Amino acid sequence: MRYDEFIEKMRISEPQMPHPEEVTGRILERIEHRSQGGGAAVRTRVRSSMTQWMRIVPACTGIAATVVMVLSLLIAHQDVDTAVRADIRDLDILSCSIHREADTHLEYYRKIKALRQSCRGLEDKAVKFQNHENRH
Amino acid sequence: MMSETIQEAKNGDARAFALIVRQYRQSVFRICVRILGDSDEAEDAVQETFVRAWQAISGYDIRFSIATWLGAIACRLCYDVLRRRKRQRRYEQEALWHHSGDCVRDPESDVSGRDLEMLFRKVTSALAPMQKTVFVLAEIEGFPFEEVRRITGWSTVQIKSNLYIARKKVRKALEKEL
Repeated sequence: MRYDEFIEKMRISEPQMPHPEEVTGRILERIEHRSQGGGAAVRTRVRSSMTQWMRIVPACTGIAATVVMVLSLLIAHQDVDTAVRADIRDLDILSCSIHREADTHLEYYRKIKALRQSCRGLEDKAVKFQNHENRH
Repeated sequence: MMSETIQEAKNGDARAFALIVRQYRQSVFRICVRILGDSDEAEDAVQETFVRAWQAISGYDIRFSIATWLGAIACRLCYDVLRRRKRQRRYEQEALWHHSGDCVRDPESDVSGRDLEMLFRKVTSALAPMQKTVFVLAEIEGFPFEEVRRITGWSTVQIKSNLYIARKKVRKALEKEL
């Protein structure tokens, strides 16, 4: 049997329900049971509004929780930011004073070194002059 | 005539709904039995389909075909059953042989109808739930793509690709069987 032939036969064939009346009876029984206390339309409307509430409440809770979480994160971030800024400010002052001190020391050292060099030069000159005097 | 009955059922008339059940139970059963491959499960699915239809009938849009609407409910139910089914293939094959003869009555020949249905179950047993659903609706029931899309809620691309794979698998299985 070819594929097309098989499909054609399947389309023509009609599988029958083994117990149609039994199934219909069960359906109607369930429907009647559910119908007590209001029609299908009314009941469905109530059910759908309940379903809506059941959906809205967790959604609102979720949104609120997210907002709280984001706000707390923002506040925490701001606190950390402020603390870090304060630290940096302190650090700046400290490092400036350290640098200034170091510069002063360096300047002083340079001056001393220059003075020592000039002193040594003068001493050399004095020694040379003394030697010259002694020779004559 | 049927639109009046539907309108009455929409207004909560259970007797009008019973007429709809009698009118469409066979077409719903045909979809269910071909997707599920088991007449007992298909009967349960038919029952559940109509109960759900009754619950949701107030929201049914009268402009669309009630057969498509009922088909959509049945199809989604059967698809869920297929997905939930955790049976092994071997067990399915055994069940297939045991249940194969209880639901098919071909107008021409009872025996050939049974054989055909059994062959159908065998060649579609390897299909995934989505492939099987699309195959039954588009290829066997002959629904156009737009209608299949409306029934299943899947995209046209999904339907076409699943149908392509299903046809290929069925062709292969059919060649092996015959």
